[in-house]
Amino acid sequence: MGQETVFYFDILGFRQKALGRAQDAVDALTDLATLLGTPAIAHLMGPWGGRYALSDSVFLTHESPEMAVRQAATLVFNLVNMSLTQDEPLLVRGALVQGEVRHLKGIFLKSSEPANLVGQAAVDAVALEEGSGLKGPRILLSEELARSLPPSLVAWLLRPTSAPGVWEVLWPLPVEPKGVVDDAMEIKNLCDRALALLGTRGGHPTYGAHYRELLLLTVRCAARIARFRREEALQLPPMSPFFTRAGVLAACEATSGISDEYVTTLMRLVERCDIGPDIATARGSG
Amino acid sequence: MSPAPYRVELTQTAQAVLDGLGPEETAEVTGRLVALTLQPFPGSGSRVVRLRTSPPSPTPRFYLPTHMHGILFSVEGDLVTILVIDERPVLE
Repeated sequence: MGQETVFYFDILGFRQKALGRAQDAVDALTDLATLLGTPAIAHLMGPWGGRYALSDSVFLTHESPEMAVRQAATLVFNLVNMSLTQDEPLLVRGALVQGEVRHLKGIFLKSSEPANLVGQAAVDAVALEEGSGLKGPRILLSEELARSLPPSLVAWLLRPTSAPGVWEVLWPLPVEPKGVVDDAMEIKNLCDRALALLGTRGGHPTYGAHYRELLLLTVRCAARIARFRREEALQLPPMSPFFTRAGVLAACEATSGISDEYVTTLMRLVERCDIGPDIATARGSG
Repeated sequence: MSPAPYRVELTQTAQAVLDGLGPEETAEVTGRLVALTLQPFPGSGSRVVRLRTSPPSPTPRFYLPTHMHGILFSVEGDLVTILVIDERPVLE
């Protein structure tokens, strides 16, 4: 038994995808298998020490908590980005926990390869993912783990949530601020898609909360970029704003099933997304 | 179709996969790549995915998931390097 960081995640709405002929579930698992199994992609993302899956539940382990956070954010961004143009993009929610785990063989003893993960960290990761009460595509982690990470990583990539003792990874952001220069258009694509999904899915009584939270997450990321631009002179390519007040308000006003409280929170965050008039007006000049 | 403004270079792996395909499949794959190179990168609105890497890779990597294949490639200047062409996993 040793100390490792466990990343547990599953696919949001998988139960609905698995109904009927379950084609959506097959497509979702195929995307997941592609990202986790294509050697060239897996190599680019760096190694996870242990990898286990049953249906849509996936456990990955890493010896380094910092690398686990970085790899988890990268993996989830790529996974969502791969399906971004679909009617219902693949969204996942997971949790990172540091602690004791043991890697065991499968109970059918058909291989010497580890096939089971047990230990406090595995239990806690599932409990955190399922028990926080937080909706939406998130990567959650405990406050204790968050505070053990380098302050620069925390300041850029993490935020405390409304649930006591629970933080989250702002996975739409690149793992380092300087990566925004190259990734800005992909982040903008995700922001645009999240806003569009609010209109088509955000008011749904069962799964609308996931899409409302996706939009909040992307707005928070845009606000984080704007803050680093103001305080750290973060470089951005010429581009239009991630969000405009008018655009977000119009989307909210055209969608039923969205509470006034949500709109108030959303608009307050949008106010913080201003990346500067010099950038916003530079579209088309570069 | 106008000529692609990009040169295309296949890795050994990608070439081997292409060699294993039938003429129609090869035409489909190469046709997709030609169409791909005519689009601006990164391809907003397309299913071309710019893979984010950790640690960051100095060369941007793109991935095109299609019905039959996943195509991984990079772009440096006018050179499109096809790194690998994988069949999509078959889970049933």
